[in-house]
Amino acid sequence: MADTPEEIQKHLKLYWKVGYALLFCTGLTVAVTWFTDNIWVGLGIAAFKAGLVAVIFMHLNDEKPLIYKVLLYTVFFAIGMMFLTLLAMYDPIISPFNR
Amino acid sequence: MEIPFTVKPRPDTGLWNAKVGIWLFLASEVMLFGGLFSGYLFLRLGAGGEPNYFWPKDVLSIPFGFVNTLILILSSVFVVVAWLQLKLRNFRKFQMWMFAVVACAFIFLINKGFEYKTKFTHYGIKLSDNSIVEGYILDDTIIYEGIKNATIDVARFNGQFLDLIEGDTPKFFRTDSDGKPQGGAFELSVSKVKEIEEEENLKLKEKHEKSNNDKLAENSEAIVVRWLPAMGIKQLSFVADKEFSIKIKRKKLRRSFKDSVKFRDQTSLKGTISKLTPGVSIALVDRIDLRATDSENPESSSLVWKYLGNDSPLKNTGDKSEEVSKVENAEINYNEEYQKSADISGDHDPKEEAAKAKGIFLGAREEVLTKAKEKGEEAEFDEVFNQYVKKWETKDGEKLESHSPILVPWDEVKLYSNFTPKWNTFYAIYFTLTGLHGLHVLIGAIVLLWFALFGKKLYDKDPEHMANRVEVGGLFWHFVDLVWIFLFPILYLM
Repeated sequence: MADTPEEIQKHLKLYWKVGYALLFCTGLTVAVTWFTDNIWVGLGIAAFKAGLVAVIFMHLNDEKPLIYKVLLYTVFFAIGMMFLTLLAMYDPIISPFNR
Repeated sequence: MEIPFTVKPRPDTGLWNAKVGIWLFLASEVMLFGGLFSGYLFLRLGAGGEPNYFWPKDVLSIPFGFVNTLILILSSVFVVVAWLQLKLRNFRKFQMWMFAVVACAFIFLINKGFEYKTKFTHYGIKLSDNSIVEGYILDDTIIYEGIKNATIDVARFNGQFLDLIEGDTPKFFRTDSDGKPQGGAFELSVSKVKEIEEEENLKLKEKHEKSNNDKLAENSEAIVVRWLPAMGIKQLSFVADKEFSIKIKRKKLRRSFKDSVKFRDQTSLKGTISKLTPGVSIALVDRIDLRATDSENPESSSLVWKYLGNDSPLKNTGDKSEEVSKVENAEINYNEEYQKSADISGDHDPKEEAAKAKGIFLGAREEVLTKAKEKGEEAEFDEVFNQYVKKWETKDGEKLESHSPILVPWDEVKLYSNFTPKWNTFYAIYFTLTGLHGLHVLIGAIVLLWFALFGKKLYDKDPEHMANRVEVGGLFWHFVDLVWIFLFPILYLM
């Protein structure tokens, strides 16, 4: 990031705005549960919040390629791990006595 | 030697070293929490199928979780603001914002502590037909009477049972193989057992060596085994000079049967269970969950209804319950809590209260069924058989409140516990996820506090180096926030 005091003040404003957005989204996450049981809505908002934190607070909007590469692998394997449940469903452990 | 690339970027990566380091570490953290989230998914999707276990509903306080989420998000904003203050070369302001971050972290942890405490003091009993009752103030005291015989494990004996004897401690005799007393009476203690052990082992050793010598006399090339401590005496049996009784919380024992108990140090006593302690009781039932029950029509035939409204016989035995509180020192004080909580100290007729609790269960159930019918849908299984029974308001605005106790006979108890990982898979994954997250909050807060308190020296030397350190700590802190952003909806809202 640029280091001039003006630029920094600009960043400061942005961070507060993002903070307010995150607080608002948290309220929204709770509010939507009054209207819908759909888990994807809550998870969608959570993913949006996580995106804001990662991109703005953790500066992923302006990072070097090496870090993107590291994260690409991480995300790939982390998502892969979520599908382990699916594997377990297709390959259940069957008791020999069928209890 | 100066550590290279703390401020200037390394030519090949284009980054200062600590940044590469923290991102690699965060990548491993993503995999760690990812594995646990995957475990959560597995347990959650498996609930409700075979074997019958059901996901608890509405067990965490949403306002609590909500406030904690806000606190953590605020702290995340504070940490970037603190970092920018370093960039602006304003150390005082940096410190101020950093202290705010640490304060948020500790408020978060204190809240979490309260939440954990409510779980540790909330209990559940699973009955033999798989129905579940939950509530407060569990009593699993057992009294064993008419005990005369004790068998102990020599190596592990810790003398615990001697402290639990009611009244005068009897004297003990050693017994022979037929169980008949032998020798003189003595006071049993850990040191006495050690004394007997040494004496016996010396005898055994001499006997062993004599047989070795005999063998060698017969044949000088005979193979002999030298004496090993493992060949020593393992068990000792005693008989008391009079019958005695003990009182203990069942869960502190290793095993208990109608005619004997086994302690964790392998000491076993023979006696009979007192009629005063026929089962495990909960003083204030607040939820009945019949989802996993084997009963045909659980709303009428579950075992819960049979035992609801039976109170612990120890409750009204005057000074007896005082003795109970002496036994269980670290846990909820039975008697005191009973009196303190206005909810249960009142003059409630347990049978009447049980009828009220059943009324609430059936009423709330009926409401769910009618609502579903009006909508033309099938009622959700989770809601039909799982009801909060402490308070309920009928459609006509009538407010019902029940204070029912339950006493489940030992034979009908499958499992009982407070809300810890032992109780069900939900609490297992809940404590693992939130506990690990809480540890991250704690360690992160300590590191950030360190920067605020002791960072001045480095700041004066090289402010940019200090700013980079704080950035790295901040990245970790945002990650901790990010994990909670997902934990909040999946644990509290779904």
